Amino acid sequence: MTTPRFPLPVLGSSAPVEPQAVDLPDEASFAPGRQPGSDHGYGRSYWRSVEEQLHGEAALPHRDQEFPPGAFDVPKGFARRDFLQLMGASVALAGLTACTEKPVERILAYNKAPDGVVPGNPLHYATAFVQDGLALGVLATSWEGRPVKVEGNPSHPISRGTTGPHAQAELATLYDPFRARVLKERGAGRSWRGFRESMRIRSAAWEKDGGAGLRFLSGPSSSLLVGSLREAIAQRFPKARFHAWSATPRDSVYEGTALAFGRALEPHYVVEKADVILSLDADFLEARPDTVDQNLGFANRREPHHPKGMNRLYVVEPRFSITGGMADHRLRLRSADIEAFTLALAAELGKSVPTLSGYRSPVPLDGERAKFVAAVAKDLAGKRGAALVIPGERQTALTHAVAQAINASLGAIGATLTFTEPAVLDTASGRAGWQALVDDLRAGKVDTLVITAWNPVFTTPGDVDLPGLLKRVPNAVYLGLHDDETSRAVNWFLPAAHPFESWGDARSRDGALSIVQPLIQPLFGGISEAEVLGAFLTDDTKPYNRLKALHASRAKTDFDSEWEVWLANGVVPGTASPAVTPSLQTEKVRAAAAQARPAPAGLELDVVHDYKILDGRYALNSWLQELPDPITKVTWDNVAQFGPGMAKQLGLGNGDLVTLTVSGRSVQVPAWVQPGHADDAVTVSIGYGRKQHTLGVKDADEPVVVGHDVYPLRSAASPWFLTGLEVKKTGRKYPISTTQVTNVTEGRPIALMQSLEEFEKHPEAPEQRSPEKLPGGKELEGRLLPSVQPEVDYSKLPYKWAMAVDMSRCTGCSACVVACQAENNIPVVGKYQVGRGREMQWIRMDRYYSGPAESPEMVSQPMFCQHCETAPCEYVCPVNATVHSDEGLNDMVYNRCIGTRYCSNNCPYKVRHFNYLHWTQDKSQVEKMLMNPDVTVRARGVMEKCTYCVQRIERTRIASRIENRTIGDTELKTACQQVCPTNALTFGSLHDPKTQVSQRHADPRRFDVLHELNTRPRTVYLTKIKNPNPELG
Amino acid sequence: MEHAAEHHGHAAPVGKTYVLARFETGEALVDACYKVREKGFESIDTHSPYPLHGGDEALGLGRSRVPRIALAGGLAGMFGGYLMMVYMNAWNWPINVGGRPPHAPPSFIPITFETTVLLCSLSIFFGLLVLMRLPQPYHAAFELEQFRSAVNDGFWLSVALPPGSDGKDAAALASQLGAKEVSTVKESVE
Amino acid sequence: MAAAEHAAAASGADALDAYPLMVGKQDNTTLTGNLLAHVWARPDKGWLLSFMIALSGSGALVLAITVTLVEGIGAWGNNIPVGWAFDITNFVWWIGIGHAGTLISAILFLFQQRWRTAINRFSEAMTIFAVMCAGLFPLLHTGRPWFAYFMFPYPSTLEMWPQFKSPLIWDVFAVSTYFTVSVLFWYLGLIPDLASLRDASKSPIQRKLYGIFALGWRGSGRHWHNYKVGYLLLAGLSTPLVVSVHTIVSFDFAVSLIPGWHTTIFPPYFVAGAVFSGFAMVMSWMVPARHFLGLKHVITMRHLENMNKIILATGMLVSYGYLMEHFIAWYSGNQFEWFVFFNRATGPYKGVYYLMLFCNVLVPQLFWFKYFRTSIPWMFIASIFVNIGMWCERFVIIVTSLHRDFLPAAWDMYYPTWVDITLFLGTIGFFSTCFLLFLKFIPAVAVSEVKELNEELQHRPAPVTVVTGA
Repeated sequence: MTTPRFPLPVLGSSAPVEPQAVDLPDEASFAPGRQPGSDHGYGRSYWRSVEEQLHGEAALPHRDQEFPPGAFDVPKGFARRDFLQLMGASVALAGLTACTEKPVERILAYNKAPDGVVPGNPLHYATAFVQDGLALGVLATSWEGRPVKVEGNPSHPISRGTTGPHAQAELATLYDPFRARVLKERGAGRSWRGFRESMRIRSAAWEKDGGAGLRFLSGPSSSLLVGSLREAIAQRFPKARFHAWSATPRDSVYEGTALAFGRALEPHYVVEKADVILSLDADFLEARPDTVDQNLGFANRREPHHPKGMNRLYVVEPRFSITGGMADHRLRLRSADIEAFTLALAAELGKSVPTLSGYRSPVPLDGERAKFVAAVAKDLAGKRGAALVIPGERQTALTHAVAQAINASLGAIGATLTFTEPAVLDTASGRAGWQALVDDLRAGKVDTLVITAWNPVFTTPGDVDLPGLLKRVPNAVYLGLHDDETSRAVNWFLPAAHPFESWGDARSRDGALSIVQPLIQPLFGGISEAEVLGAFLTDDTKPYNRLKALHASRAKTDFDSEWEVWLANGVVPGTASPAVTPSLQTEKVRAAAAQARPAPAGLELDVVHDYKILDGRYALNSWLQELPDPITKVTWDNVAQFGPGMAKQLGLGNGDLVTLTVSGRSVQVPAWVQPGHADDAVTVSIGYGRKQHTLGVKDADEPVVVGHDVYPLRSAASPWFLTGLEVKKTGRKYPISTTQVTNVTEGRPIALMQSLEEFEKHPEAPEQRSPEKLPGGKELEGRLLPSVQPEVDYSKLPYKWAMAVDMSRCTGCSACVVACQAENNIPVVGKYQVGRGREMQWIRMDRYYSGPAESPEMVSQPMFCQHCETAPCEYVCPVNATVHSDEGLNDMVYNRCIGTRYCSNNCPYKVRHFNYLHWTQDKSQVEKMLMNPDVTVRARGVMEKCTYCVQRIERTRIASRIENRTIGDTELKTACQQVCPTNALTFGSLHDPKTQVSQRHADPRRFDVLHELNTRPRTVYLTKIKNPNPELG
Repeated sequence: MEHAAEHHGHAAPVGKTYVLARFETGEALVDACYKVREKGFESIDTHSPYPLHGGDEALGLGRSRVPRIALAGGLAGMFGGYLMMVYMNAWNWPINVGGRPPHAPPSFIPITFETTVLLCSLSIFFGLLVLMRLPQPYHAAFELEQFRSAVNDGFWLSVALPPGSDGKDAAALASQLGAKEVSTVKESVE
Repeated sequence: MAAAEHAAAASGADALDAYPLMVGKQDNTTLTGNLLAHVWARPDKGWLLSFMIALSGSGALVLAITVTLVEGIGAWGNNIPVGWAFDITNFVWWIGIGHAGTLISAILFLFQQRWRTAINRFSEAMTIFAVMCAGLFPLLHTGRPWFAYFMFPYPSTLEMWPQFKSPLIWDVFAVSTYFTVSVLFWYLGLIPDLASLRDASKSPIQRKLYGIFALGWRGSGRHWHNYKVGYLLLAGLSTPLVVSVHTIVSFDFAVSLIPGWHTTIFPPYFVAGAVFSGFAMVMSWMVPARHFLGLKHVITMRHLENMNKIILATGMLVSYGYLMEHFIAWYSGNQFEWFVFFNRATGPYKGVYYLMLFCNVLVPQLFWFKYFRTSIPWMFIASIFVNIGMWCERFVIIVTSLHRDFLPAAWDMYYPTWVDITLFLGTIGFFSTCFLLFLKFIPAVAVSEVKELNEELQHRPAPVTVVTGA
């Protein structure tokens, strides 16, 4: 799938069009359901049907009318054609708009095609996906200027061609019809020019007092453009202040390094080089822009055949995380006790490592923990230069400092760990950065506050009354994608342009600079952060020009040509920060460690960011909302996770609504019994509980509350964990929609796991899976069971498609599920329908526990259509709607399907999904832009399932035929394979024995799920290998 | 009532004439039937609420042709059904369905059986209608109101008279054989 | 008169028959009178009331079907993994009920069971209405019913043909054949009685209407000659047909590979179950019908007791089926099979399972005792229980097998919605509507056959002798 990449031609040549936020009469005309951009209201698609029929919920509005409102209006929305016209217009008018601000006249047809655009063929544009200021290089697949899919950028150091779930789902946010589209002052529509004018008037006053009352609150950013703008503003208004706020700060990382090395540094864990890894509550396998690269490094060392052998992972954490699921040994511990554990480890190591002498744990560890510490210490010490300790962002600065001290002492630095200067401008985006602002607000010193951080009113800790404080600010400005809690607390609200709609730049964790180029004209006339900051300067240069000016100096030869290359590649060469070798301040750390006090006893509240919606910024993203949590498998909700012991003691079951009270503040959350969770801690994830318009929940015309808000429990002082939690049962039940109700394999050989020891004894996958050893089954070619059926000859055609899943690599991060959803136009069905077992995701990430509920082992098994050669689904279909292709694909013929569901009943893997209702009905124009034109949008009453991304196969086939060659091994990737951060999935043809997939099919660890049914799946699995420490065995 | 005439295969403008005689019991009717035939009367028929014992012999009827019709229908159904499936799945458009062979005799048996039964039954039913010349909206016998007891509790002998005969002899014979009532009906042709 | 004493003597004479086949002295005239009486009688309050109830049931059915067609199958409780639930359960249940009719009319006819004549018309009608209800579900349960015609091998330029390896296609052929043959068989037997109605009718309109359907039948000896043979042959065909139909229905499950479905015992076990439930349903209708229609003299305790004996026998067959099912599952040593049956008895649907065992295994045991076999209220209650039990059996087979199959991660629960339930009750309403109309407009007993039987009872073996009248 590598078509030539171009910088976005439309905007590549000159400045972008001014955002079209014009004066508007009233807000009413923008009420959801009556959007002028829509033919008949937004977001009725997923749920307008059975709930209200069955549950007698309020009848839909306008039901009395035969036609929905707006049905008679002339469609004015962003249909593809309109969009093409718009692009054409921008091409023609770019020059004009650079100098004056005429509204664009959208009358030109798409007659002047930009370079390289062949209608019907997608282009790939390099840009960056930014999260908490850190960039992940991505390629956006764009159809006639309409981005429909995001892939990782292979030439980006962190991405290496893969992404996590969030980057995949970002487009659902871009095309969210509920994004704000009106610039407002106190609820009344205003224009962008009007806003700039009012700021200009105020700036007169600021120039006198140096902007003493001017404050900026932004999210953590690594953008050099933003940086330069801040400097410019600081020069103009010396007394103006910039603060950063993030609900998920990485402060402790920088404070820790500051304590350990004297200055804040960005650690880079070279996981691939480490033989022994200890994670101190660090979820470093969660595929986020700061950790994607670590996934691949870790996974490569989970291969028992790796030349340097398998690595061993120890995890110490309170809740059960993805990383904990991959651990060879896992110790469940309260967050508050992890500091003590770290010190105990240092003390243990101190016995053999002189630089670590003199540490002691504030509390002596009891039997199990002591044993664990001893074993870990021994293991780490034995692997000098190949050992690695990774502290988690939720942990204290001291924990980080001591952990780095251990790393330094074990010779990790330079080997498994390198340091660079932080790429982010705001190393203090948590309490430190924001306490000063809060104080100023309390003191009433602030007269203008410009908020570009995401929704601080919602994310502020419970012990800070931000809305109240904002009332005292005469001129509060908020730039946001949505009309949310914060926009209601300020007097100026500016609709933000999505990062994919505006020019900018960002740096990845290692400093590599990416130019963020827009993929599409702002859909709702949004404004970028750079433009907002620009409004406080005298010159109103466009961000695009500022950007070019800023980076002009980087060009070695001709700037313009190099600029094109940077855009095309997505990375500016030579911008990665050089590694620094800091010297450990041994004494300082030791002194700080001596101050450590034992953590107060009692039940602990652990606050974590949500796997799916993070701090809540993705709460309106229906793809992520419907994505089952990798661990709990809960959708559309957050839960309070209890350890099995505690749950038993309190008599709690899944869905029991409990009241959590800590330091006087309390919230109600449904309980969830989580195997492997610490018994003396309760984990809740933030971001839920907002009253919101969300596609897929229910009728979007009235907003609903999704999940439960736990921000009130947070305290600014200690955002991540608090002791002294009280739990009270309310006696009420709360319905939770989960996609997996059974957590164990019932002793069935389905998801196989072996220890390295067993594997080396007999590398064959466990006997019952190995057909040769079946009674009567002689040595059969292709590991087939004997069958009365005549063999089908697949050798005639050039390809024999197949897939292989290495469960040793799969962490269960579920990026593939979202990628599949994006690629294949899979609908969202909403919480209620998920609860009824009607979720549509083609990939079901099965998660099984084994062992005791207190400390279980976890195995994740992505389960999708196995493309069985003797498919049970096919012979039961009465109308030939699912048949086999000559290349071995199990084809689904939507047009022929009449929906008897017999195929699904007879599928032993239950990987077929049925359109019980018309999920795709009433899609708004904006949502339709998200659809992949290569894939049919399925109608009601039709069965669907994984197709091995047949549309990609065909595209690649066409490309290869044009060049008169066969398809290469790495050339063709399915959506799930392409996104997988751990390279757990491989796809290709079995005819060529050299292909990756052929090699995995020949791997001794290979097994076919439910092999005894002789379905002969083309998708095979490789057993998960664990590398336990015999001392802890 | 032309079509009624056609039913009898006669184009004669003059309708047929019948002598109808009611007997007390089935036995009496059967007995009378023999006697009348001995006297050389052609085209005799009995009418009774239920099949009479020895009725067929009395009327001198041979083996029914229904079984042969049934056999023909059954064979047509059997071969037609099987060949249809072979043509559609194995010959006209063979597809790889779950790796099973396109021509799968065991899977084709159930439908073959069903089509056999279906065509057999249809041929029996419609064969019967043809043989019995039903539906027949009009018959001369219904001109006589008393004859309506024939399907309830009466046992009637009907003698179709040759053209020209006034039927006196037949009527006399009937009453002599113990008929409770005897009358002559004429087919209405207008 | 002489015939009368004969009749009384004859029917009482057989020492083996505790109860007579026909009560009192009957002749053709009286039989014509009292067997057709309920057709001529104006509908009484009871009939009207029950008809209104039944009609509202049919209305509910229409409503439920409308919702299903407008919303889609999503209006039901079905999901993945439980793709089939109430829909196919009802289908199998109704088909099964239909089978008793064919069995009584065809098989007992072949075996020359005299007692059959009084009840065959009744049960054949039941067959037809039951198959009509059954036929609804295969059509409605498809996601896109408007394309259901894809299942028929119609010639088209696309040359898209059905896939004849699928048991569902076998179903299509089996059920449609079964319905056609049942209708033909029923109508053929009906012709003489329609003629009888035509000629016994008082008003000219009735005469016209019944006359049309009677096709001009006049009891001609030449007609009887072919008619007897044709009827016998149809009966002969129906017998293997009825067995084949439920065998094929059982293939829907036996041919799949789902544990709890994939078993070779299904065909005989399903057929036994069908007869079992069918006789129960006949009983549930006949007990009130013979009372309200005044047919006690032709549908005697002899008939009822014989049917109870059959219910007992088939009930034992079904129980044996359960036994073998569980034994084979255990004997196979296949953990998936083991789990399914363990799950039936201990899983979330165990209530339905035990109700099934109670109704189908325990309740029929009553009929070992003559007291229960001959007690009207007991046999009525028992027959209702058996109907419930057989519905539960199908539910247990379909839902509990599907909701927990191979991969535990895919397991889920099924809960019916109001549409599911209305659809089921609606078919019962529709069935009752048809049946009440049948009882109103068509003789519930095969009149001419009963007359023939009456004749036989009076003269056995019937010699050809001249009987001179008084």
